Amino acid sequence: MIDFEHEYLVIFVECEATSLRFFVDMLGFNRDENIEIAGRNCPILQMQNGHYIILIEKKITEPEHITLVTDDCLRDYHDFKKREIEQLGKPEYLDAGLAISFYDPSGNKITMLESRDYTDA
Amino acid sequence: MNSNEIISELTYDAYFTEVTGRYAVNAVFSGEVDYTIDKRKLTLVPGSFIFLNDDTSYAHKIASDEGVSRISIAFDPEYVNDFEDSVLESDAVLLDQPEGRRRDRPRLLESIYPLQGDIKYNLMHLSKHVDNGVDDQLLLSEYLNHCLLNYYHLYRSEVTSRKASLNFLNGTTKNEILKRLCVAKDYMISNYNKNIRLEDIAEVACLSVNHLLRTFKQAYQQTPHQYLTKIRLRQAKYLLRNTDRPINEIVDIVGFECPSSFIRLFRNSFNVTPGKFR
Repeated sequence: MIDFEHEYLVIFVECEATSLRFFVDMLGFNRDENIEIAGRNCPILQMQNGHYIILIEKKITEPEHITLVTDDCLRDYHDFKKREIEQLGKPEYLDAGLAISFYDPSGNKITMLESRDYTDA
Repeated sequence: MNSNEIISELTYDAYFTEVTGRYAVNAVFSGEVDYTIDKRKLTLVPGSFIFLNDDTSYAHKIASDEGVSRISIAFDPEYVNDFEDSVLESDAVLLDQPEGRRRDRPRLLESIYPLQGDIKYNLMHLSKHVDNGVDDQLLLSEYLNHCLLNYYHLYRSEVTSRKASLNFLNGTTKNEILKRLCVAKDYMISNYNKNIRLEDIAEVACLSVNHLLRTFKQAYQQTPHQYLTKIRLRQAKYLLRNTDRPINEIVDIVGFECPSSFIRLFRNSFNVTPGKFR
C-alpha cells in the first residue's frame, strides 16, 4: 500500500525483469512491494536513503533524465564502481551539490544528486 | 601502499607534541583545539580547518568539559605527490612518464581555512564513516582524494587569487605579504572573542598598521575589522544553532560590546534576527 508520508518517483522501463535486476542487484535498492497501476503489478523499490521509486513497464520512445536524491554521493559512487555499473561517470561538483550519472537498461539517464547548501558560509 | 591516518573522535582532554612527517588537514565540528606551531599560537574553532605541511612540527591541546568533536587527517607525503601527479599533470605528461614526474614535495601556505562548501560535506561524511567503523580502504581513499581535491580548489580562491589581487609586481613580495596577512587572519580567528587592537594584529603579522590595512583590503576586499566582525557573527551563528545559551551571553562570548549592535549587524548580514534564526 502506498504510504502518503513518502514521495514516490516513477521510472518508466522497457523490461521490468531486466530493470529489477539492475536496480536491485546492481544498485542495491531494496525490493519493497508491488502496487497495481492500470491493471499492472508494478514493483516499488526503496533506495538506501529511504526514498521510493516505482518501476512501470512500457514502450519507451524517448529515455528520460531522472534525478534521484542521495545523502552520500561518494559512498554511492564507490559502491557502484565495485558493482561495475557501466557508463558510470566520475563524481561532478555542480551548483546544486555532488552528482554521479549512469544509464539504466532502458536508456534512462540516472543522476544521483547529493544536494548541498553552499550559501551557508 | 601509503600510510594516511584518519582520526575522528570526541575528546575531552588530549595533548600531542612534535607532530610532524605528514600533511595535516584538521577540522573541529564542536569545541576548540589549541595549536602551537613554532612561536605561533592558534585556536581552531568550529567552521574552520587548518592545513599543515609535512615538515612542520606542531603541538596541539584539547581541554574541554563539553568535549571536542574533530577530524584529523594525516596525509602520507607520497600520497599527496601521487595526487598532484594524477590530478594536476596533463594526460600527455602522465603517458610519457607513467611513474609520475619527480618534483619537490609541495609546500602549501599553512593557514586556517573556512570549513565550508564541499570540503565540509566530504569531511563530515568521512568522519561519520570512521565513527561507524568502516574500514574499506578504497572507500576511505575516495574521500581522502576528494578532500585533497576540495582543498586544492579552495586554495585557488583563498591563496592563489588573493595573491594575484595584491598590488605588487614582484612574485616573492606577493608571497611574503600574503603569508603575513594569513598570520594576521589566523590571529583574528584564534582570538575573535578577545579585545583585539589593530596594533596587535599588525605586530604579530610583522607589518605596519598602514601596510596591514592597505594590503589586507587588497587581498580580502574588506578591512581587518570587517573580517573580525564576520568571524564573530559566524561564531554567534554557530552558538545560536548549537547551544541553548541566552543571546546576551553569546554577545559576550563572541566579543561584541553590546547586544543592540550585535542584533543590528546579525540582521544586516543574514537578513534575520538572532532570535528568529535560533
